Amino acid sequence: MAGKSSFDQEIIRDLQLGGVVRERAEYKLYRAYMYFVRERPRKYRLSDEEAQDAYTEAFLAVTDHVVTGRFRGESLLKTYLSRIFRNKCVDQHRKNTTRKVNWVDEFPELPDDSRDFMRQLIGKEDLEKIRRQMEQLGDRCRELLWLAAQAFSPGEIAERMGFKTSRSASSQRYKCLERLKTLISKEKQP
Amino acid sequence: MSSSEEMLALIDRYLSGKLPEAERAAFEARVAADSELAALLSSQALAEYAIRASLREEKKRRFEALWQEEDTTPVRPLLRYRPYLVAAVVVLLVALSLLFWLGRTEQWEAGEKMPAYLAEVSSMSSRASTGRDSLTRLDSLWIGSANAFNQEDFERAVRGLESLQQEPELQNLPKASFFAGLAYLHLYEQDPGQSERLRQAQSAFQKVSPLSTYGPQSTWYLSLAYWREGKLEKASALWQEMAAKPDHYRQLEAQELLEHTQP
Repeated sequence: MAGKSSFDQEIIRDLQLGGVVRERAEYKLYRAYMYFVRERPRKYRLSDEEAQDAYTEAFLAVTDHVVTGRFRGESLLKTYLSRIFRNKCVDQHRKNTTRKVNWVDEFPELPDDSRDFMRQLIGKEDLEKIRRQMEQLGDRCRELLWLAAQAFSPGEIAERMGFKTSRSASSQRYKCLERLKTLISKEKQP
Repeated sequence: MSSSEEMLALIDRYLSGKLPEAERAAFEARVAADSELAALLSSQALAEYAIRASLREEKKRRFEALWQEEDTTPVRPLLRYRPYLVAAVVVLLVALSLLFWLGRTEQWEAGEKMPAYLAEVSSMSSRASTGRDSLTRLDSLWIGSANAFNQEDFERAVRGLESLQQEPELQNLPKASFFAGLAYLHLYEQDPGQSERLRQAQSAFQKVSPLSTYGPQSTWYLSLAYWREGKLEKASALWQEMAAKPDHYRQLEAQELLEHTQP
């Protein structure tokens, strides 16, 4: 049980709190198990870069599961991360051996089994459009929306981005969201 | 806060699963009756998806930059005690070899191996986005079921997915059957006393055509459901089928299971 490890307790609590505290916890967790890359299963014959990529993918999945509550603390974070890392190594090995690269692989958010499902919903063109739309938003709006998505409070956003009040950060967030929706709907028009 | 901001905040809470049951049901009823609100929900879901997807890419870039700061790949902290560890490992290996030669069976029990496979089920996510400007009643029903699945409210997900399958125009919708099967598997794992759930999972996976997008996944989880119920013969037949297909996404696991579960 994760409750036995004070490291796990602290990381889980901080990740779930969001904002600046989550950001710090993410770096702490990421650094704690970077050595997995050195100790990766050799049978998959991954390069260092591929193994680092698999580790980052696994780490992002773990933090996502902690934040959304999918990680129930039935194992240590280290065990959980190690298991997902191994699966990511297998994925990469399959990709290397079959020499087929599916475009959905570029979308690291998706767990293996939902990739086909997502392909039905969002085509490759849409994926590229999403990237373009986020680019078009501009650095400031994009950063603001990213901070909000990481549960930064309006106060934290105001402090980091130099807004005078948390209220103005909040209202700017809605404006940026509206801009993004407009960009999306424009793209969808024939 | 303006009324439009309030509405966006309400949709935010719905999409992130933070609405209490009663408010959620009331909101879904409003969506079903109000096409403008349904369009708003659809566009907000797509925008949230775009933000999450791009944020993930950005985070990946930031974390991967940490590798540039390291002179060498980090070593496990305990490795400074390597000589002691090596000695301990040698002793352990000798002990394990003895155990093995004294007749320890290599057979795996479903209860021993299943949690690892089913942990992967919990990492699955059915995304609720139609990418359309307006939502039909069926789209709303799918979004409700997918949200319930993502929030691990499997009872509600199953109810929604089963109703979707009752729709005459959507009978045998593979994705609904596939996610219903997964939801039943989850429900069984939460309460293994309900063996009926396993059979419902099997029945849902069987409805998915092997030729559909969900065919290979359904075959894999059907085999796990059989194995969990102790129907090793049926599970093995499916593993043989998967192991014989070099392009099956679970070929390696199927081979491994065949090797370790045979008497």
